[in-house]
Order: sequence, then C-alpha cells, then structure tokens
Amino acid sequence: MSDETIDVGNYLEGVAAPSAEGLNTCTHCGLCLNACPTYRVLGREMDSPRGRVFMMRQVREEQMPLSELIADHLYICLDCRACETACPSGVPYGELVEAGRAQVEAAGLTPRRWRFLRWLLNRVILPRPWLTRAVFALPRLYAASPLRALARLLPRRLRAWEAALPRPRAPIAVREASRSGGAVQRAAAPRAMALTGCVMEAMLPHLNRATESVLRKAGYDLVPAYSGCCGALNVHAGEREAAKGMARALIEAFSRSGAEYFVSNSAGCGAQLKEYAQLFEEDDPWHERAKQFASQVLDLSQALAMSGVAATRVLDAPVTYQDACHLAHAQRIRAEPRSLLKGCSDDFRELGDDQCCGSAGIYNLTHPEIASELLRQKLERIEATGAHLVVTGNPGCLLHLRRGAAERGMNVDVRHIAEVMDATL
Amino acid sequence: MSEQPSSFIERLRTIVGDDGLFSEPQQLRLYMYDGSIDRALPIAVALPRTAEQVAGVVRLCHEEGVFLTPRGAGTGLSGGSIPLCGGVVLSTARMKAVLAVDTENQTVTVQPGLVNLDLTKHVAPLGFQYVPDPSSQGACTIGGNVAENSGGPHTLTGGVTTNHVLELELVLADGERVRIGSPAPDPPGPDFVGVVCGSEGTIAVVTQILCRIVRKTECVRTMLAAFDSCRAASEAVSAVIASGIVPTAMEMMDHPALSAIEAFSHAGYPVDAGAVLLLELEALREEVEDAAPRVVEICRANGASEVRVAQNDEEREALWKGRKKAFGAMGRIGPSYYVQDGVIPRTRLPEVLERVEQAARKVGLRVANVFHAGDGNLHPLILFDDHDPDQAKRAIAAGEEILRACVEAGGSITGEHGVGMEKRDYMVLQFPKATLAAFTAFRDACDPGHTLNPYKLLPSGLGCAEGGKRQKTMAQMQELAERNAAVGDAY
Repeated sequence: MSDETIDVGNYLEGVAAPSAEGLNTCTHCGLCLNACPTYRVLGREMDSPRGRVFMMRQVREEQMPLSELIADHLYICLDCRACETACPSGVPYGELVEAGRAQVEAAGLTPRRWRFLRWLLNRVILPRPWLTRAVFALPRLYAASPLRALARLLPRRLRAWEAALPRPRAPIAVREASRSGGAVQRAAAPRAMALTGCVMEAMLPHLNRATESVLRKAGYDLVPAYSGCCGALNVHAGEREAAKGMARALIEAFSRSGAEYFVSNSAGCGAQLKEYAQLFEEDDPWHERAKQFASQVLDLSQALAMSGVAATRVLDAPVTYQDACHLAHAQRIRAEPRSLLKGCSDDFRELGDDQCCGSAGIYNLTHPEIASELLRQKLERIEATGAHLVVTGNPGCLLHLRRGAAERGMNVDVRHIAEVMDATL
Repeated sequence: MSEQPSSFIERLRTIVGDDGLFSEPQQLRLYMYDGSIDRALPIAVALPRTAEQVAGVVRLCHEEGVFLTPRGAGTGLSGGSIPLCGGVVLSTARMKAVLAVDTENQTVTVQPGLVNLDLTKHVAPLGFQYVPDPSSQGACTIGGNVAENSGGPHTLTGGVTTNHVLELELVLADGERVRIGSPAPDPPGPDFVGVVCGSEGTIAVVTQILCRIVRKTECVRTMLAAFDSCRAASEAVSAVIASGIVPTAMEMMDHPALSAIEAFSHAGYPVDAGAVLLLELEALREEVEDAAPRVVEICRANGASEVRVAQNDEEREALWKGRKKAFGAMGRIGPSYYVQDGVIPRTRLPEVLERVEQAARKVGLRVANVFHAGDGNLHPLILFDDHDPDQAKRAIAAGEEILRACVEAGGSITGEHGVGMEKRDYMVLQFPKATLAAFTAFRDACDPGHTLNPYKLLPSGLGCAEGGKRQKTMAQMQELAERNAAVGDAY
C-alpha cells in the first residue's frame, strides 16, 4: 500500500493506512454480518465487519475523525477473518483492520487494556529471547514443581487456568490398526526449516519436538529450526515497523539455510508468514522476496498431507477437529487436517461450526467477556459431538479450549495435531 | 412537547437499558445504510431484547411523534430499513432465539432477528427445512423477510415468505401487542398475516413469527447449462416449463456477471459463456431421475453448448454459493452496483433483457444480470462508482427506465426486494390512483400518528416535510437536520 503520497483523509500520513482500493471493494451487502463472532454476540453494526470497514472508509473520506470510539471497535474485532470467507467481493479485511490498528497505534488511541499488555509483550518480552524463554517457561516449571499440590486450594475459576497450564500429559491413547502406512522414505528428501517460534518453544516445547519428529517420519530433511519470532503479534497490534524487521531477519535466515520449505505448526504464525509481502511497499525489493518466500511456507498439516505419509495406528477416542481461524479463514486450510485425522481415526466427528473459539492471541485477556461467550458456544458444540479428543492446529486455541473444558468439567482432551500425528505414525 | 432533547433519549434508555441504546453521532452513522445505495441518519438506535421492550419503544415514539424504522440485518435492497426522516432505528439483531420447534405440526416459533439460514440449520438435523431462501439468507433475518415478503431462487415452486408464515405477534403503532393468524391453516376473516407480510414495517413491528417448515425433499439435482446468449437461455427456460417439468429453481447469469461469480466461488462457472442457467430439480428420486435427462435434452436442443450436473453436495453447494453471493461479488468488477428488481412474464425475457442493456448503454454504464429466470424476476445490476454523484444519478435513471420496461411488458416493479424508498415513486407506474388511495387509507387506519417507517412503500400522503412539521418542535430533530445535511454533502 503506497498510500503516503495520496490523500489519506483523517489518517496520519507516513503510517500505513487502510487502502482506498481495499475499502471500496466493500459493497456493504451485509453478507459478512452473521459470519462475524463479535456481531453474533453483540448484535451491533459497529462490531460487524461491514461496520468496521465503513468506519475506516469514513475516516479516509474525512466524514469521521479517527477517534477513541473507532479505536475501541477496531480492537473488539478478533481478527479471525471469518468475514473474508463469507465476503463475495474479496474485501481484504485482515489487511484493512491491521492497517487501521496501525493508525490507531500511531495516533495514541490504543485502548488502555491493550496498551499495557501489548507493551509488555511486544516491547519488553518478545524482543528478548532469554526473557521470552524465562517468562513462558514459568508455567511449565511450576507444573513440574511441588507447588502444584497447592492448586486444589485455588478458587474454581483459577483452578481451570491452572489445569490448562502446559505440563506433561498422558500419552494419546492409540491402538494398532491393520492399515498399511508408516514413515515415508524419499529418494531426494526435501529440506525443510521448522519454526519453533517465540512463545511455543518456551511454553509448549514438546509440541515443537513432536513437529520435528513427525516431519522426519514424513520424509523431510530438517535444517536447524528458526527460533525467532515471526512478528504476527506485532502486526495484529498495528506495530508494522517492528514486524518488518522480524520478517527480514526470518526470510534472510531461511534463504541462507538452503531449505525448500518453511514449516509452521502455529496457525497465526503461518498466516503471517504467507502475508509478509503486505508489510512492504510494492517498489521495495523485499516485497517480491516476501512473495517468493510465501510460496515456500507450509502449515504442518499441508507438509504432512503432501508427503503421503499414512498412519499405522488409530486413535482410541472419538475425535473432532476445531478449525483455527488463521488456518481456515486466513490460509483457507480445511481439508488437510481433516484428511490426516480421518486417516488415523475410525470415529471422526465434524464439529459443524467454524466460529472463533475466542482465544485470538491476547484477545482472551483484553476482552474476557466476549472471549468467554465464544468459548462457551464452542464447548457446547464440542459436547454435542460426543468427541473425547479435540484436535487443533494452533497453540492459542489449544490453551483456551483446555481451560474452558477444565472449568466446565468436561471429559475431553485437547491436543495439537503434531502430537496426534506423532502418536499415530 | 416541551421535552428537552436529552429526555426523550433518556426515556428510551430506561426502556432498553444502557447497553441497548446508541446515540453517539459516530455510532449513528453505522445505521444510515443498508445493502443498497440510500442513506439517512437516525437520532438513536434501540436494540431491544424482548417484545415488551419493543412495545415500550414503539409506544414512546407514538406518544412523542418520533419516527421509528425497524431494521433486521440491514441487507435490504430497497431502503426499507433506512431511517429516511430521522427518528429512531429499532434493530432486532438481539432478538434471535428459536423459541419452539413442533415437528408434528411442522412449525417453528422464532424471534424476528433470527437469521434465515440459522433457522434452516436449526431444523436440518430433524430432517426439515424452511423454504424461502433469499440470496442473502446467510445474513438476512426472518423479521426482515416478513417485512419485505422475501422470495429467493426457490420461489418458483415454493412460494414467498407469506406462504410460510402462519401466525404473527405484533406491536401495533400505538404500542399495543396483538396476535394475528393462527397455527391452524386458513382461519376465518381477512388474511391479516398476508397484509403484514410485505408491509415493510409501515403498519406494525413483528416480535414473533410462527413459520411453516417442510420435510427435506428426497432427491435434489442441480445442473448448469451454458448458452451463447441470454436469448437462447431464455428460450430454454420457456421450453423446460412448457414440457411440463417445473424445476424448483431456474437462475440465469449473463456474461458480465460470470467472471465475478467464478472469481469468488471457484465452482467452475464457464466465464466465456454468453449466459448460464442454474437449474435445480427436487422431488422423489424416481421423478428426478426421469426429469433430469429431459431437462438436459431440452437445454441442448435450445443451443446449450455444455450441460453439467453437480455430482455431489460439494459441487452443488459451490454452484449455489456462486449464485447466492453474486450481488456482493460485483465489488470485484465495479466499485458499486445498483440492483433493480422487476418481474415480467418469462416469455418476454429476451426483449426486456435487450431493453435493460439499452437503458444502461444510454447512460454510459455497464450492466450485469443475475436473476430468477423461472418466474421472470429480473435483477439487473447497474455498475457505477458511488463516489461520483453523477454516476449515481445515471444509475438511478437507468433503473427507472428498466422498471418502465417491466411494467410495459405486463410485469411489476418489484419481485421480492420490496418497494421501500427506492420504488415508492414508481408505484404510480403500477397502480391506479384509486388503488393507491385505498392502500393509504388502510395504512392511515393502522398508523394514524404516521410514525412507523414514514415515507416508504406509498408514494403520497406522508412526506418527511409533512410529518416533519410536527417533529420540528423537538430540538433533536433540528440537530438531525444538520446531520442529514452533512451526509447530503458527502453523497
């Protein structure tokens, strides 16, 4: 978006603004409304995709100032991008709302609840790998310590948080099946670089180990993993400059490794990696480079489905799959995880609902009421399927669903697809 | 009438609660549009949660002489939910419960804000469906459907909303709550339900609906036929119906529309074709299997270069997704569109389509056609840039020309999108003066205070100017006028 030279209305110059082209693609038909989780919960046009696009357009056309009120509504958005799936016109909603937030950020209008958490996370913790490791390792260290014995003294709500903390879990129950399958041996193993990521490695390192293990079984030759941050949290918070630096560093490291594929096991990171080009102006050489890079990025489920690897064991429990928004809507990946799960289960049950679970990065902390309502709806759907195992492809959903299930006293285990595939291959 | 402006708003607030009322100018701007091109600002937006609250809002507006415009999802295409003369917008978005399902009597009781598709999803696991399926069914509400008497692709055999509503709970203009119709079919006396369906919020506000649901049909087959021209496709439509087969849907999409539809749906629509027909057969398996090859044959005999039958549910859904979201997809080929909605006898399709093309060409704009060919319900989409007031004017002129052509061909000025504010003045093309006077008299009897959705549906008698005289005594109305002027400048 090279908007800087064009009239940006009531937006600040020199900061990425929602593009006129993107905003004008919206015909305000309203077909996005019922796809939007916040509209479904709140019933307000201001909290619908059409409403937010309209507000952003009004600011650009100088009909509205960029105000605190608009900022609030832009941050009530989960950025789940279900509206992009529903939109017949192809409005690039995610790109628009992220640029809108960049403007809110630059104008100093970021909602207070966000400001502190975002500052802590994006400015203090994440830029310092040692601090990231230390902070996100705390829950894990706690879980392995004798302190845990005291957890039963906690109030019910806190106990649910406690129960969702990462800790060694029982192996996933599987049984041998008379299926032909097993690890794939390839003549020329494609080289791949995995992303261990910032939060994932500190908080859920076993998922990264499972990812590496399962990629090897699928015949990939792994180069050392990339352990930095992809910048997704920064982009979602409107901090584009910081994100650009992170993108350059990551692409550079990938190029040097000589790997063919870059594999992510987190939906949010994967979506960001595939959209790096949006961060750079079209005349910036990094724009082309980011585009090229995007074509080499795979979600773990894509990498596994492509390899043709087939499960040798099947899951014991009835299983369902929860679509992570940044897989289903942002990356349009729905078929691969399902076909993998059907390959290792005799009892796969569709959830029949792809509404956001409410986790959405730090949204569950900044907007707990809406997040809890969405979580409640999701858990009800899960209960209705009768599944005892819920599989998802994103760490945020995983922790959020675990907490909700514990609070509700449900007999379900929530697992990442990497663990499930590692247990059945 | 010596009320301070704030006190009216405060009284509204006591009815719907703090959380249920908006009056900030920036928030109000979000309720000045719908799915079409008209715009006007309200002075407040109320989001009631119960029928009692709806009645309270309606009564207060009635007592204070403040205009009230009901709104469902705001997906309408004729300005029905635009608060044309200011006043209060009453949104039913938070009244979306399914209150009861009665599979034995095949009925469902719902609140007006329930989304059409959510109703079908709710009863689908029980083997039932709700028949009217407007193209916006993923977002539009049952209450909105009742107001507009909405149709959809399956109108050809299934009928429109009024054929699927048995009983209504209403709030009358003075705030009184009543029930009309009956759970049993054909109650004695006038068909009041039929009158309310399509009255566009001008005589009452609906708070509860008893809908008919039907068993899902055993077998559905969807096929796509590609033709060189709209003329050939139109002839195929007439030929299929003349053969005695009545498909549940026969939808036509012309060449300009196809590329946008395919770009969105990836359903395999042939983008090079001059026109495409989407046909659906629904019946018992034997019947469908007998009819399907005959339909294919008739299409071929009328010049179809390709006929494809959807092989499974995914293919079928992809084809329908392309058709149902076709209007919205126009954003891909033009900044904005103005959709018209006229009905003609289907045998006149070729000549009227010709006149549609001419009308657009005359004003220098492009037109795409996506419509219900089976029942001759045209939907020309006139493409224009809504940043350019002159283009908007030209689009409206072409629209009027098209409606004239429909009436002259023996048709009507609206099939299913309603009259709203868009076609209010065209009612004179359709109805004699005496008929319009009778309509107006009926409406005056229902809403003597003229507060419900003013200046919609009927061409005369109730302009904003006339109603506005009473309202000018209220300070908030002046504020409204200023805000309206600001909006006027923008568009």
